[in-house]
Amino acid sequence: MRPFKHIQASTIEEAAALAAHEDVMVIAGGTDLLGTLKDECLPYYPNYLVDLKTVPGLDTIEETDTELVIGALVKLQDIADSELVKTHAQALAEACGRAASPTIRNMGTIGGNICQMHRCWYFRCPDNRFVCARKGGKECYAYKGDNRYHSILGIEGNCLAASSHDSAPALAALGATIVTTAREIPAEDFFHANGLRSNVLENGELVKEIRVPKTEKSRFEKFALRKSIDFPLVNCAVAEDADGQIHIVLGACYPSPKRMTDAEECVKAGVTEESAQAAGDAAVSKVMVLSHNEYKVEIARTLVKRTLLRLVNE
Amino acid sequence: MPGMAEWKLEGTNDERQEFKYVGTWDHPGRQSWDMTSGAAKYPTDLYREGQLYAMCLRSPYGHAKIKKLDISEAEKIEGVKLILTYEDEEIAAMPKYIPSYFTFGQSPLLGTEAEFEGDEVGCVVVAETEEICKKALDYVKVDWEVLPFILDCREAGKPGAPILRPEMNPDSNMTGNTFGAAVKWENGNVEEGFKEADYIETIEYGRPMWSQFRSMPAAYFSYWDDDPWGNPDGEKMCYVTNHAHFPSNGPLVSAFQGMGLHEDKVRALSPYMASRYCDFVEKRGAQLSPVLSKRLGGVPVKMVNTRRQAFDAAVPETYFTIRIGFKEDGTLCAVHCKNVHQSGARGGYGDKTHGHLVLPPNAQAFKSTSCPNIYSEMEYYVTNGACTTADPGKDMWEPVNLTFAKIADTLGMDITDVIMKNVIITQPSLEACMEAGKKAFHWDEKWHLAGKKVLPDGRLHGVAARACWSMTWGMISYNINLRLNTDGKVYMPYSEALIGTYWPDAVQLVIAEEMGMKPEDVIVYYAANYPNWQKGDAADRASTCTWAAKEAAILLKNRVLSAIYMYVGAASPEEADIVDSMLTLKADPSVQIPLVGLGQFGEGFCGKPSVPFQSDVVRTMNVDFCEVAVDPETGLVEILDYTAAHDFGKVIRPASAMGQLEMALTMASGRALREEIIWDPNTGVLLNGNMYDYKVPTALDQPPMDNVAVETRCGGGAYGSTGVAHAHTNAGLVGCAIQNATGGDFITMQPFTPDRVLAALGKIKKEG
Repeated sequence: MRPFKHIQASTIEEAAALAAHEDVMVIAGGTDLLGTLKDECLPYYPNYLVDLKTVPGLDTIEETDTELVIGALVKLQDIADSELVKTHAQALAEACGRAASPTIRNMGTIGGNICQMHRCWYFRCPDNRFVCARKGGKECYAYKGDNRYHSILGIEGNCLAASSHDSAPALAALGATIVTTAREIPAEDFFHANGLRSNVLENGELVKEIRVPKTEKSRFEKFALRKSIDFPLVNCAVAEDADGQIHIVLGACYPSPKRMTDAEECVKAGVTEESAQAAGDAAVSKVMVLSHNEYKVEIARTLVKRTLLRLVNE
Repeated sequence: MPGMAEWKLEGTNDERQEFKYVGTWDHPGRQSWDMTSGAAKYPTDLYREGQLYAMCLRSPYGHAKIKKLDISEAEKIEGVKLILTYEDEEIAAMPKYIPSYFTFGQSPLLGTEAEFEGDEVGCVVVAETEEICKKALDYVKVDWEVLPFILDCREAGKPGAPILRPEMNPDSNMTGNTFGAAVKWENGNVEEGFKEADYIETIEYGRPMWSQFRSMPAAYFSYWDDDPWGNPDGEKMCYVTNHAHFPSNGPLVSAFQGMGLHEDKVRALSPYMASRYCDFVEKRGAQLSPVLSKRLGGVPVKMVNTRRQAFDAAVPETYFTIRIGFKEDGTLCAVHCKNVHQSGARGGYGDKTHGHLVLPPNAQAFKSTSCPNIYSEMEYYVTNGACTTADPGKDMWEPVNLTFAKIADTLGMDITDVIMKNVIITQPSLEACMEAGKKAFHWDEKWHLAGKKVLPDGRLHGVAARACWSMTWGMISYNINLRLNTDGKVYMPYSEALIGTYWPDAVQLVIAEEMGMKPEDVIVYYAANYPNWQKGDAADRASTCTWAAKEAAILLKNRVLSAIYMYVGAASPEEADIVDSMLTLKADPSVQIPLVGLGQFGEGFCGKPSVPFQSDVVRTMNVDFCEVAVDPETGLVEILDYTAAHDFGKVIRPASAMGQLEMALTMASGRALREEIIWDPNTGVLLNGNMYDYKVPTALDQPPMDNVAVETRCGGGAYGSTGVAHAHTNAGLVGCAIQNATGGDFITMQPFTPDRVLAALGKIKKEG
């Protein structure tokens, strides 16, 4: 890893001001960033890292009558273990509990998880071997290359990477709001293939907290090849909102988590074995499979069905 | 039973029935303690004041040649101490280490042609820090000529394929990507055999490249310092890390041969190598670092790799097409086996300085069956798929077991019956393993015809069994020297790089057993350069080395007793004994004196059991059983039970033996379900050279196991012991269990990932 200067921020505003500079990156748990820096997979290397861990007040989980308020620095394992989250946003607790490994969950933060860069092996290739469209190049190498883990729902921003956050579909399904230093963004609109970022944040804009509407009914499912320390091949979250409508979000099937409105229509009258199956079918009715990832369609179909059935059967 | 009749037990093998230490638990091993406590020092841990770092230029292309190299800007960077290029006379003049067999694998230590992405090529930089090395390499201007690359050995063998190594066989009329004619042989008359067959089937089998050494970035550390004897010849001593457990510190030999030195001027550093097996593919660092240090006046130089550079492909891809003929009763009567095998970028064991090659075993497997008519052919081709070993290891049994599975499936037979019917050697070992394994696995309750059982959760249930021999590679003698010191303890030096085979911990128990010492009074210690001179594979740990240790212990005990028997009032050596590290009068065991202060006694044994060369004699077997659940909607496979019944001959150190089994089955499960080296098909760049994307099993992925140690005393080592070796790392068994679950086709390519399982279930189209 190349040298950088480490700055401990005192306030989120100070951190945001520093982060506005091009040669600055921010670090919280560091579980994503440090590996990225070790492998030198980005087109540039930061001269400064601004440490958010020294900013007070961002590591709590609180509740109001209608929401959970989760600080950006709350550890993934703390969310997974939180009775508040398990009671009012079970899908999020399950998602955080399935992310990475115990060691990483005890270091990684929710803010870091939703801001992690895509795990595409072209984008992440050490020594920046592939200058892809996300890095200023002309093409997405996955299109003609090995795309077994990539998008089955089309291209976003000239990118075919699959979103790799476990928390993202849960937050989108739960109708969460990402509160940054500059604005409030619905989770459904937050994630996006955006240059090196996997979200719509701009330079100097940092996540402060996440507001999650309370719901008694939400579930999360993840499909990965390993039981630990593996990114999702497909993940899925479902949640029932205050109006009784079920939200279905698929992750790892598109560069950002994708709400499956056609599938939601299938379960408007309730979740049954048949309607859940129909929802699964609807979720994958408009796929754009690549040369090596047709199998993910079957997994996505199944995960939508199974997550919905868990919602009503558990 | 070929091979059994002429084999004779030696030493105390056929006499000792009672064991005080051998085969018993709760003897903490020195290596185990070192590695689990964190005390073990690895090359990356080494540091000396004034240490510099070195890194090589790496190829960004799958196959490329340096047309022009300009280091002038790099040399100006502050902190850069030295840059050597392929034009450096000393580097260019270094002789290549040629351990055995062939010379075709040679290429320059630091050349101009990169044979795979990440290949070390062109120049090496020495600087004050690793970061400065990287910066300097960024400033090296390279004019590359990008050359055609091939990743698949089947493509390399096709007429018209780009020639990757034209110098390899310039006069040959072969494709140019191989270095010799196919290995072919025939027993009986295959076409006649097919005429006798009631059934004829064809089997396809493919295995990708696997990684084997991935948990630790390697480092090579070297410095020159005064000879402890005061530089009597005017030359300093070269200290360098040792990276091999065979043959005889190979890379170390490379280092001193390369510099024109003799072994007495080289001292090995650091015995621990973590999971790196023999360091086949990265010995250049061991050879370059002493040169770099010497050129800089002897300052310590640590040559380092990034974690990605250290992520090696090591196990080559291989493909079989097998036509089999068999009779109604399951008897195999004809085999036509064709194998296309990858020999790696270097034409052999990966490194540019090695041409070592072990190929024929892939063509030998069916010899262990009763089939009288066998034709076997093995072609091998270089590719640009990184350095790999060419050694097919124990995987030669994969096509045999797949054949048995195919016969069983076709005829609706129990595969264990097919195995017993067709494997002709190794009784009583095979029968003992089969019986013990079936019982532990509850085979009779679990086995069913293919596609006939669904679990309550909707998943498909399948089981399979396979057999494999435990080869005894006791082909080279082993050197054990023992010394009873004045402190009353027995000392044994060893010098290999340690990779988790734990043989010193096993021989410690053998020595204690034979000498009558307490295990804690047998001290096994690391002695740089001590020539244990063993050669072979993991099975040797319990065969040749324990054999030699036993013989040495017997000799030493006899010598000690002959010299000191009178001190306990014995009239002859036969009337005295050593019990619990005390000289003891046999007639009255209460008469004892400690061995302390009685002087020094030493003995050694260099040799091996009197057994013929490896594959012609197989005495011990192992049988594995696997139970899977297949999710028909997602294609995900879960291993519900994995059981190995392994004939160790005699278990020396149970913790090591059973640990090896668990390790091997975990490795097999990973290879079966997830692991493969993946290259970008358009650039030849490695895509999954990290622990996220190369999916080695985690602790949660380790399958449940019910392993059984079988002891027939039929092995070639001490007390009839033998090792575990590679036998259980075969991945094919899981595929046979999947087929038993689905009732469909056998999946022809490993690993058995959801895409392939779904294709086998007809849910998606098959690859290709």
